[in-house]
Amino acid sequence: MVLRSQGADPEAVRRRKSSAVGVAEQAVAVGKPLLRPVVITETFAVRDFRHEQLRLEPGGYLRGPLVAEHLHAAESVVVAVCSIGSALEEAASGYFADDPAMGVALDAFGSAAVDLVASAMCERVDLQAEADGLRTTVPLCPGLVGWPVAVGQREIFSLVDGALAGISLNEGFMMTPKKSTSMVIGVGAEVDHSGESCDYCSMAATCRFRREHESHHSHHG
Amino acid sequence: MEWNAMAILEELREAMVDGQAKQAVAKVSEGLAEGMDAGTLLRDGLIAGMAEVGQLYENGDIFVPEMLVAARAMSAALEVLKPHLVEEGVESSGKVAIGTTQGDLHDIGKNLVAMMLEGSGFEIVDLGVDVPADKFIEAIREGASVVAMSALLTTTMTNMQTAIEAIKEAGLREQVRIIIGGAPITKAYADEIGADGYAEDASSAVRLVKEVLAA
Repeated sequence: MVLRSQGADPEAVRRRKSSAVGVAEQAVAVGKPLLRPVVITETFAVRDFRHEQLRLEPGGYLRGPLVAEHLHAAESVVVAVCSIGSALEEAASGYFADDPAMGVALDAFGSAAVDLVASAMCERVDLQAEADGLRTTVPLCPGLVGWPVAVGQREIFSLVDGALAGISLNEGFMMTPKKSTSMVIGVGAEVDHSGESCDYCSMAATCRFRREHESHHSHHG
Repeated sequence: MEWNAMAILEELREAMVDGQAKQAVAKVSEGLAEGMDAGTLLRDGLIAGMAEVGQLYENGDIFVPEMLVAARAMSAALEVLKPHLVEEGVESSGKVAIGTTQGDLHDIGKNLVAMMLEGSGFEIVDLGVDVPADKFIEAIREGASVVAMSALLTTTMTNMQTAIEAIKEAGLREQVRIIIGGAPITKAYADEIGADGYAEDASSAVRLVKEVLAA
């Protein structure tokens, strides 16, 4: 998990008996006690959809080409913010001065951890939808092609109180703690549930971190 | 060069590539004890070893974690060498001021670049994160010949252009080389905003700094 989050092939690194493996294991041991996972979700019924804008009850909206493509058929939208807190990233920064290998490994552990928290949240949404006889869309995150960060983050944080999760946005719409993520998931009988979030990322072609198997961003029809 | 010195340098480079910090420190100590000068150990041992690491990374033969343990070995060996380098008056290859652009708090990529540049013999002034234009300007006035800017968000990358414009207005553009990098950055963007170059990763950043300084 830690090696993969740094863009490495864990099997190849292990085959080379690299000391990087020991660093990764140490990062897990150090990082686990520092995790403070938190998820905040709000579900909104969809009022209507027109002109690439999804209007929600009792108010608020989501807009843009990506929203239009995936959420136009949604009956409701789950808006979520997730974080693992700031303790781990603070520890990682502290390590970097003297042991950058450990600092980066801890940071990678944090990235993997928040991804797992988000995956667990998505799975719960999927299970609830399935129980209700409904389907879900891929999770849509601000910053994907068709939903600029400045637009998406502003919309999400107007719908969810990030402060409840200890998450704030700065002027550049960057979340702190850094190991936080935000997303929306459409729910409905007629939503398209195929594809992956990675399909809508501008770095999909060259990303070293893209996982081809097991992803909370993928739906297999 | 004597055969023993060559062997020490070879073993020092191997220790770095393998990420063996203790072995790297031992080889530097052995070299100094054998009367080798610190500059040779730095140039033909540590820097040459890190260059090899960088090439392996760019070839896809090793990954970031392995590059980092190699850099850790380099740092450990460099600590032993530093007082000797000062004594010999060995100068750095150049002074690089590096920072994450204003409004952006991401630092991992910036730290990796700083580490690789230091391993290649450059003096690093790390300005940190959320760096406003006037901090880059101050660094140039204090002798930085290269400014390296990082951004991870589309919302903050525009501050790179702001910083370049401010450097121009301060009349300092001609005396500094500016390189940029980060996830949303492209060569086209670097050209658009008037940067001297774009590096897609820490290893190619080292090559880029050498190129822009030689230009």
